[in-house]
Amino acid sequence: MPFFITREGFAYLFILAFVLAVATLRDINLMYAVAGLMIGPFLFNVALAAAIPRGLRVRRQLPATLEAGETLTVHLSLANPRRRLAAWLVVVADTLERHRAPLRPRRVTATAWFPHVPPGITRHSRYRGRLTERGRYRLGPLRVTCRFPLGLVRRTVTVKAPGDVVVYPRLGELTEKAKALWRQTARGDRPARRRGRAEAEFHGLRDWQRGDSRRWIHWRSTARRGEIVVREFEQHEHRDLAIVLDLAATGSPSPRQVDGVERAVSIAATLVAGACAEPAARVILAIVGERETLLSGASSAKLRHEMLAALAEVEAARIDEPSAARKHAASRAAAFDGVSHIVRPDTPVLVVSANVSDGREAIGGTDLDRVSAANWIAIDATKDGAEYVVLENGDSGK
Amino acid sequence: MTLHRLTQISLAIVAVLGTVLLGSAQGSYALPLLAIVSAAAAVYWTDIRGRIRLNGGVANLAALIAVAVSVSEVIRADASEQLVAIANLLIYLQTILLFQEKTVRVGWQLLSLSLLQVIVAAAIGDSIFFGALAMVYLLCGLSAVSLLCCYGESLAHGAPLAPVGAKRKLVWGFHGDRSPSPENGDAVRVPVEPPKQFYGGLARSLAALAAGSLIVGGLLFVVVPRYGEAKLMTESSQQSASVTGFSGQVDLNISSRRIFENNEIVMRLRLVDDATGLDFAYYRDVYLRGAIAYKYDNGNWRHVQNEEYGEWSRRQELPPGVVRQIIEIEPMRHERLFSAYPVVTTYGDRRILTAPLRRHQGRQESRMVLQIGTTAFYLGEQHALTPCYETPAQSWSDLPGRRTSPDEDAGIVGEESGRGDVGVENIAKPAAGPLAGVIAFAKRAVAEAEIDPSDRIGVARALEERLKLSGEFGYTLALPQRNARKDPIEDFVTEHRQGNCEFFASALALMLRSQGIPARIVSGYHSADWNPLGGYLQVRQLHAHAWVEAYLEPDQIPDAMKLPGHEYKNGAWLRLDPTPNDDASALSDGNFGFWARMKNLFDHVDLLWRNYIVGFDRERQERLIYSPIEDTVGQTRWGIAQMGKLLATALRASVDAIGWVGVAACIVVAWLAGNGLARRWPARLRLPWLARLGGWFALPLWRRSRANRIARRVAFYERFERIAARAGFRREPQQTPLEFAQTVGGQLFDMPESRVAARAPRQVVEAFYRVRYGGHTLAEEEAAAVELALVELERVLSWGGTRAASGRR
Repeated sequence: MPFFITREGFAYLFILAFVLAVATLRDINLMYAVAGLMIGPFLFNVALAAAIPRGLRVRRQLPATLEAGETLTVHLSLANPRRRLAAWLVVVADTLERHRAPLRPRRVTATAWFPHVPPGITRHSRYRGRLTERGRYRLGPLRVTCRFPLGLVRRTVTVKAPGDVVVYPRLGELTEKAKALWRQTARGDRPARRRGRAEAEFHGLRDWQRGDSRRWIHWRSTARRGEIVVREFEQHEHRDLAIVLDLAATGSPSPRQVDGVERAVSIAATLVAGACAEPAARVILAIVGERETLLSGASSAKLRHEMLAALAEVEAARIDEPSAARKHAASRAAAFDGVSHIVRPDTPVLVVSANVSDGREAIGGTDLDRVSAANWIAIDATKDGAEYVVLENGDSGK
Repeated sequence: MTLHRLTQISLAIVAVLGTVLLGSAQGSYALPLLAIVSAAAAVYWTDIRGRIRLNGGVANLAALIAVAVSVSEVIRADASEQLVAIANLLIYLQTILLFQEKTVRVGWQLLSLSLLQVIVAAAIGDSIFFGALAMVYLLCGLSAVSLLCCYGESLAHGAPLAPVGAKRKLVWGFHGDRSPSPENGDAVRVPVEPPKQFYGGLARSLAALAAGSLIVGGLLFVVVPRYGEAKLMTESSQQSASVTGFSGQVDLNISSRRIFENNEIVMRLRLVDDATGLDFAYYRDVYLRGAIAYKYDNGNWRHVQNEEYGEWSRRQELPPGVVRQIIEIEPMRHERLFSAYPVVTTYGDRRILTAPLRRHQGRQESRMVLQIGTTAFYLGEQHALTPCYETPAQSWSDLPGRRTSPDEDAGIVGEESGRGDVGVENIAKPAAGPLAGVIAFAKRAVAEAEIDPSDRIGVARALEERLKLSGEFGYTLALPQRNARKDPIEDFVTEHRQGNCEFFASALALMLRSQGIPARIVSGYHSADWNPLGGYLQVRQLHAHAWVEAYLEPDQIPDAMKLPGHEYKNGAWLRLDPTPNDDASALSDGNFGFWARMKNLFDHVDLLWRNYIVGFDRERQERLIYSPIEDTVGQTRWGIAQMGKLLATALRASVDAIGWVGVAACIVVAWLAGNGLARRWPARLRLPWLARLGGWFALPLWRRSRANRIARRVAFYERFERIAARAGFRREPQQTPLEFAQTVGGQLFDMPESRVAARAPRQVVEAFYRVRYGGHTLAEEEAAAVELALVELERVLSWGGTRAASGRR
């Protein structure tokens, strides 16, 4: 429970010491009186600042996911369970730190202010902000600080309230070329008919997400768990799409390289989001970066979340050393091989890279015996990404 | 009203209050006026309208200029004025800050400057207004600091608007708790407005905080140890020549001047009957003599220093009817003793100070508290006759008309005449003197009164009444323009018959001298306001007065006028007051009506303020705070020790009776029973139950210890008090035994015949302390020593008791 004297408090104490010294040296009683009147408020400030944060209960409500650039709103509630003492001027500070952020490690503090919380009352406040970088953010601990009433001292009580929020990569819009690619790869020549969730197979339950229909709510589970739970379905019909994200960067990447990586991730995320929005599609995502990841499944909100979460946390592989470059090439080849074993021969495979290693060369240098090389499309995020994805504000990735 | 606006207004109020405090300490009305005007203008034009707002550069420049001006003032000023120059600098800087935008930082700076002003005011002033204003300042200051704190917090955690400038890419949308500054491209924040009910709760909290701070501050004030005597910083009697007040000199040459009445308190006088120790009921006006002047020189009366001692009656025993004057004289420029005469005292009396001025020499800034005995109050009024006891050479040689020997007559009077003093010889030659009109008037007045010129009292009364009651002369404080070619008194008697008491007294003194009656001017205070709340007479500067005393030879004093217990072998002085409309009782106008009561209440509060706040020094602290605490602690320790002993005794007796096993079993059973009972009872009753149980045990122990304590006191200390009481020494309620012993010992030491026993009271009391508070049992030799001391005391006080008791008064 740290207890600090503020800068103003130090100035106040300095003046107080001066007054006491003069009063003692000169035997001036009014100076003693002034000193006495100064000591009282300071002591009460210490007492109140120490007492108010003690026993307060603070809770945080977070959104589960967030897209980079969106506004994050965190709701905080402060309960004062005491019977007499009100809480005044309480500031709740929350710390946000990006998990595994080698490129731009940074910690920020956001605060919410509670001017007055009477005894036995719970008050709510919030803080807002924009997280412009993808990734997983860890929140907490919460620090409850009070300087009431004079701001001469402050006391902070730390509340361990861990929480995390995943910030998806920034999503763009698919271009007509990308949508055409979907249509082109639609399987079979069965007559089109309406397909709905009713025709789909029940897959499982998951938390409610934005955009879910109210008809999907599983009321019994919702009532039992106290939060909204929806049913998840799996379509029988498939339109497959495979995406390989190839990320490599030097140890000290230039801003251009960093932007290239971020664009590649955003393009891949947009493609994934588009694919997961398609009904009866099977989506395969292979990530070759600092770590290798292979995800596949029928398009669903859950798969979308899993893939976007994976993309949120992906980091580029370091290829400064020749051995690292060789290792990365081997990983990429393994990913290609894995994808080629999963996808159907006519499934398009989009290889998104950040220009560092030419995707085409990678494709050419890989033994793709099970699939037609014609279905493999290399997308250089810094050059021709805009053909498939339009990022926000006209930022096409070029 | 927004939080920001409230903060701005409260800051302005605190700034004004700080300056008002400073101005009141300096006695300046310009500073508070300037502060009020500038603060109002700043709130309206800077905070509300935003028309005038000094930017940083201009403010810094103005502050530099202010510092330069103040530094030059400090260099030129003397030590006493340097603090004032620094105070002025604080006001300049505060005014500059008031016209800046009220950011949090500027707010703290304003508050700091205001607080510094209060500190300076505390250093240079001691008025009760400081105390009253300090209370207001405390509340307003706490409000301002708290509002500023709220405003800072609301600003730091408010909603950010779009960044200004936006040169820096906003990677992170969050901001720390830095104050917003548009210049650095940061986001501008909008303070969060608290809900309306916030302010009501905050006001209540601040009121409680102010009350608590007052209590804590008061406790600290009385507890913090003092190391010296408290100083009063103002010299309240330093008045300019244009206001009423005792000035120590009579100068009649200043004409065409308006004298304003000064209501300032000079002293308080409490009269106590020395025989009974009760307040002496005297509600009429009092003449308090301060200085005496004999030599008149063309409009100037010269005072004689320390002439009082010549008229003090020192004796072995006090005469009957002595009234003790307890006089609290405020700090004055002149070290002067004011008292009703005749003053009587004994050589050994320490309570009636015999040399107060010497005792307080060099501390003219301090208040003097004197106790002087007097026999002036006789048969319900202040007696007009003051006997002469000693005859200092200067006094007598300066007396015109006094002819005790041919040598004095030939030499001294001639010399005085040569210096221009008004002697009988030259004043008796009207054609040649500058006071021909005065002499002629006196002769005519005596002749018209048809009084025998040899009847000094008759002549003196006739001249007094002529000046006072004839209507020919008028009293005024607006002095007229005098004829510069004439002596002021000659002008007063012959041309401009308007003047204040100094003119009347001077005229009467000179007229008496012209008739061969030695006379002198007495200046001091006359009249007083009775304060029924405090039970004292309060004397103000506007009561300053001058009157006349005429000398009477011993054979000219009628027996009816002689005070019992006094000798008149050296003659006496007859008090004469020729000033018209000045003998009306001032008491009557001060005791009735709401405002009079308020005035009395204020004066009493002022007295408390000066006694217990401004004058709270080491001695007073020791007497009021530390001694009672030590007594209480000593008693508590003694009680605890006795309880321990009793418990040990009880345990030992129990062990003897039932053995250790039985005692242990009893304890366990009692504990189990108590525990079982306590569990059955509601939780909120458990503590009272334990307290009650403790009370059952503690009460008999306490009663027994108290009885024991009383028994111990009776043993020898009470015998000492009885012995002392037989000799007239009684311990005051506020006196500790040691102080009482010191008092008795001091009295014994003052008398040569009892000096051998002066150590005995202390010896007895020290033994008493060891027994009473230390739980010590006297050894055989100690008890013998105490017994010896008591016997010695009894022996000394039995034969010298009467003298000691009379000396105590």
